[in-house]
Amino acid sequence: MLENFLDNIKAFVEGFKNQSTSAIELQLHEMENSFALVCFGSLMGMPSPPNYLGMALLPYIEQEIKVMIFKSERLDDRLAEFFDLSDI
Amino acid sequence: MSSTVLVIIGLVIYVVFYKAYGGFLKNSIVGTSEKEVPSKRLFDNVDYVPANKYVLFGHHFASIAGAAPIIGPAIALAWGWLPAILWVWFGNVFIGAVHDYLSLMSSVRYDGHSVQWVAGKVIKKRTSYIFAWFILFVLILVVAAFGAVLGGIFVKQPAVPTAYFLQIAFALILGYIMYKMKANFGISTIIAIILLATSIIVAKFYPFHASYQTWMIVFLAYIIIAAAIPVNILLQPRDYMNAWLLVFGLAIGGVAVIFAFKPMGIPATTMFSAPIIAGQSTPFWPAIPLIIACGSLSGFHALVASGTTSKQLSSEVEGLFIGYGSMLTEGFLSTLVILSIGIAGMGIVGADKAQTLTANAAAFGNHYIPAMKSAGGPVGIFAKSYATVVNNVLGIPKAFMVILAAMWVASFAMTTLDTTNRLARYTFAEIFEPLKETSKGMYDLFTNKWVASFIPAAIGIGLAWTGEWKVIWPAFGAANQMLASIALMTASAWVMRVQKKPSWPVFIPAMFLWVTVTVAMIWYVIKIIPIFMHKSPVQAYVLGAMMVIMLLLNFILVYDFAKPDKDQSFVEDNA
Amino acid sequence: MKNIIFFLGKGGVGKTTSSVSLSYHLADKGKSVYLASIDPAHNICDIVSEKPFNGVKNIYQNLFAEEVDVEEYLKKFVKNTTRSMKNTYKYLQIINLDSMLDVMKYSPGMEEYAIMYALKDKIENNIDKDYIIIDTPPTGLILKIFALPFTSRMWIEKLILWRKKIINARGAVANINPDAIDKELAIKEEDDKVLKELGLQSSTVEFLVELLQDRNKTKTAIVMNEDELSLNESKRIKEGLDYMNIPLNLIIINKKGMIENKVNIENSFSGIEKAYAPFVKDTSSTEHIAEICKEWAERLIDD
Repeated sequence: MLENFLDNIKAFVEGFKNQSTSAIELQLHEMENSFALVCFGSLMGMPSPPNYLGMALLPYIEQEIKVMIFKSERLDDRLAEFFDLSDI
Repeated sequence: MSSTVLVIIGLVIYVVFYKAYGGFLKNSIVGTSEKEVPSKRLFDNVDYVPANKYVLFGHHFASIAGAAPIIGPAIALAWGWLPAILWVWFGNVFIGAVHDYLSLMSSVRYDGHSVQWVAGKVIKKRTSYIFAWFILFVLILVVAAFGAVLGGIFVKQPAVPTAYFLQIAFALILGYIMYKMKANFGISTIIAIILLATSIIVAKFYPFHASYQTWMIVFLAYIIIAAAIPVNILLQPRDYMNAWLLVFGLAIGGVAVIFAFKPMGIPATTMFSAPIIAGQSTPFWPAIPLIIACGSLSGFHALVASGTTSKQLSSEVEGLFIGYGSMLTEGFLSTLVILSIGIAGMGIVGADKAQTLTANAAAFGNHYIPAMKSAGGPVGIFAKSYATVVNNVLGIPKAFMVILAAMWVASFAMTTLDTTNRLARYTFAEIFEPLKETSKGMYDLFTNKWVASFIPAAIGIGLAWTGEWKVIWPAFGAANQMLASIALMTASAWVMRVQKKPSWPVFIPAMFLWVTVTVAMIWYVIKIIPIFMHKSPVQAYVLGAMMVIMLLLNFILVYDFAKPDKDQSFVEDNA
Repeated sequence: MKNIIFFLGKGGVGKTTSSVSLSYHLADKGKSVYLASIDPAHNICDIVSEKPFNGVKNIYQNLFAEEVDVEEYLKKFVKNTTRSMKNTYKYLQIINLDSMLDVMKYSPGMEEYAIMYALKDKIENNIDKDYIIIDTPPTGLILKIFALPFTSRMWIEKLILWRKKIINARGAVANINPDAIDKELAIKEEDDKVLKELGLQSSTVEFLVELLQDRNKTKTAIVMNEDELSLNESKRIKEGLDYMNIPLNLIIINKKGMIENKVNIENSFSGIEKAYAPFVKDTSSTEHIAEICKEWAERLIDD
């Protein structure tokens, strides 16, 4: 009973943590997404830095590329994700 | 009847329906799927991350709870507290919570795709596009409605703007401490609460007086500037402070109302057609959903539920708790609003006004709205009543509680003003997509960041300029309910065509809502717009045009719902 | 190092001869000189009558010459990248597709990059010499190579700023909610490999940009003949150098009097010194070669 109660309190605190980072996480993932897009924009015809720069960074930006791919799969359905930001 | 008894009745209804009706929906309509939830099956640690049930509940609730569930019920009291509370309770359990729950679950079954996307799948391609239009109208009208209500309270309670703008300044500081200096979370939290308290206390001594029109100009500038600032600077720290405001407001208010043991001081029912919208006699049916939107049911929730919540749900069983449960919690918030005004509202409008109001039920119905207006509009009457109840029960000084309550609403409403502008910018781009081929110049113009930011903000504030929240608020309600109606139709199309389960628990509310809102909108266009025309012709034309477009889209929508594309495949997405 | 001197110009106008001449001249004066050709089509060895050689060779007194192997730099760079790529895609070896990744070296712009990298490397390695003399590839290529550090610099600056924002946001989130950020991801600027790599890239381009714009160090000379084509190309070089704010010190008119239909260049390149170099038929002896630069050598060097 007490343990259960403590767990709930913990979840409550976690929920608050979430309230203080969710928008930044959203922003972070979009920044990672666009970082990868900028480095490899030439793949889809976007202006991009000299190829060698992208190549030099390639081995280290697995996460960014991953995010770019996840995000690009959902390009036709992005609006609702941002409704979290508004409090109505 | 005692407010305490009503709280208990409300809670009993919620618990019983949550268990019985919610359970029925879960077992018979939603059923189970062999597929794992998207958060696990598509886990990417970016968008798809399973979250703890309570954490997700908190997040979902904080995203759907705002200023609207407080404002609507305060206005609806003109019909008496009983119709208002019944609409909140039954609207909640039969429509609102069903809508939220099923939007969440259909999204879960479609890999976390939004209800807008699912609508394009289960109804017709263009339904998704119509959805975008409704979203844009809601986003514009919410600025108008909140702008008008906020302007009223800022003028009547000059401490509130001080408190809010102090909060903004403090949010910037908090953001710096939390995200730049990366201070310990506990310390940041203590700082956040101290800053919040400081802003309320300081505001009491330094009210800021300005005219209504001045505030409208300030709002317009604020919207455009705030919407252009990176989220980590203002939006995120302010969100965090708001979360505490919500918790304090709800907890203090909840305790106070439960232990108030006060009788309701206002009539249970007044008349069927109380003068509410633009001072015209407004029939309870079909107008009620235009007045009480978010506290009872809100289309916005479908987007929140299917935007992020569905990607974080860690098991299908928890969907009921999060989708259905958090809507009931929001309804509980509206219940508290009704009850606090019910027991304390007459004490704050002034002795002579109270006398007129309480003479008989009809007098209350006739004079409630003007009395509320002089108390500072819906927010004003709520804040003062809330402060009175809290002061009576917990003894916290009334002056501070008025500011706390008003700031709670104001802060959420102001947040909505700028965040919806961000969304509107994007929706603009989506809506003008067809222009891309035919008229490139127009497309570039409308999708320009500043233009797309300015137009919705300017239309919204332009409508609010009249100060006629009694006219604008229902228009926002209508757009929001249209959104709810399209989401409910999507849900019932999903239940019928994909789930192949009995669909009446969704279909009946969907149709009821569609008919009600459509009739209400026609009534509004015929009855209210011409009256508004005498006073503010430009705004009336704009509002009228929006209403007519929504009505047209509305008919296309129901037509599409009845006659979906033959070749539309209703198979669940397995991508 | 006192000076670095670049010889630019259209192919065949006598860039290599001029640079070799100046090198001998300086060596004769007892200076230590490093002479490098970064033209993929080298011909220093022809002029100094040596057999083709690899690496640095001491060809005369304190004169060290090198025909820089651009291909090697290209390979080195591609190898580094492909190594890490191949590490990720190890399984390709199973079906012997790993060599597919070698195709990266044909990516556009790679050659310029390799030469730029080589240039920086060679300059740094020979910074102890009194003079560094560079014989450059034909106009189109050298202008691209010169432009590369300038254009890359902007990208790198922006990418570094962007990257810092990302790391900062990660740090902010991890500070409050550690589980939300993958353990392998850097949350501090000093741990981030991307920033480190960008820093390396940045130091390369900054080094070159600073050097190229340093009027006390860098000297450039356009070598040209008195024909229309050569003149036009020289004008292009000047425009390019002006654009990048690289000083142009001297126009060397080579093979004077040898060209029919010669153009008048007196009115072109106002404000820039011009010098004439005699045509030397016999380049077999060091003295003869050193003769060529007699008139203009002092204008290109600071003692």
